[in-house]
Amino acid sequence: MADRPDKVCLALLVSGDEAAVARVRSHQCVTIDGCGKACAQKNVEIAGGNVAGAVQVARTLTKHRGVQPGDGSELTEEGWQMAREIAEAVVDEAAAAGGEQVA
Amino acid sequence: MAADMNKTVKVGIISCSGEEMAEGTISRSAVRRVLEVLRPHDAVTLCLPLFLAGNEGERNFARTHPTITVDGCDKLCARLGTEKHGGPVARSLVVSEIVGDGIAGCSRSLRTHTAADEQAIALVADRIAVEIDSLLEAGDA
Repeated sequence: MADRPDKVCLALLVSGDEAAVARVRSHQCVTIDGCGKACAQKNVEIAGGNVAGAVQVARTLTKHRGVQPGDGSELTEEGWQMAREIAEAVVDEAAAAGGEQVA
Repeated sequence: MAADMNKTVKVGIISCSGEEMAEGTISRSAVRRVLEVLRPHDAVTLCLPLFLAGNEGERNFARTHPTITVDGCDKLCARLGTEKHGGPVARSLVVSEIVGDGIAGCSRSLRTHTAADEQAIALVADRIAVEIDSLLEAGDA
């Protein structure tokens, strides 16, 4: 496994940027989507990348009914706790994938 | 602005997704501030990845309303994508140009939010608000 995972701008990837496309094709990818439309997962797949793991924030939210995570501008402490939970899920997916990862 | 623009008083803001860089975080935070605090009744945001991926609802809004793109860097994903799929943009803003050297102290993560981030977000949000006002005053929205 690589020492450090790296990130790719989703909009840059969707725009067809050659370097971004090359990065997702040459690395195992973990996608993190906010909603069920799954733009990140679908567009990595469309770009020819390998989605080794797909995490959806909305699924995490359904496990915490009644929790107030905050809003688009600011997370509450509960929201940050959920963010940590999601981050751990990403780490697990990345570890399971092995090799280098981008997300 | 095209004569067939929808007369509903709303401006569409399309922000950089910019997960790789601080400029992306500032773009999204500034747009949220405009929507929630500065101009809550005058603007909506369009999801750039969804827009680029071909969502017709998002694209149709961009075709029928004036849009302001807020890009993090000179790759201009938001502007170029909007122009390709939704027509000309009314205003194009670039965070790195607005914030200048101040970007050096900014963070990619909101968790490590600093005074430099706050200053950059305020600067960009104020500029977006000015551009919205300009469009509304010109009757372009």
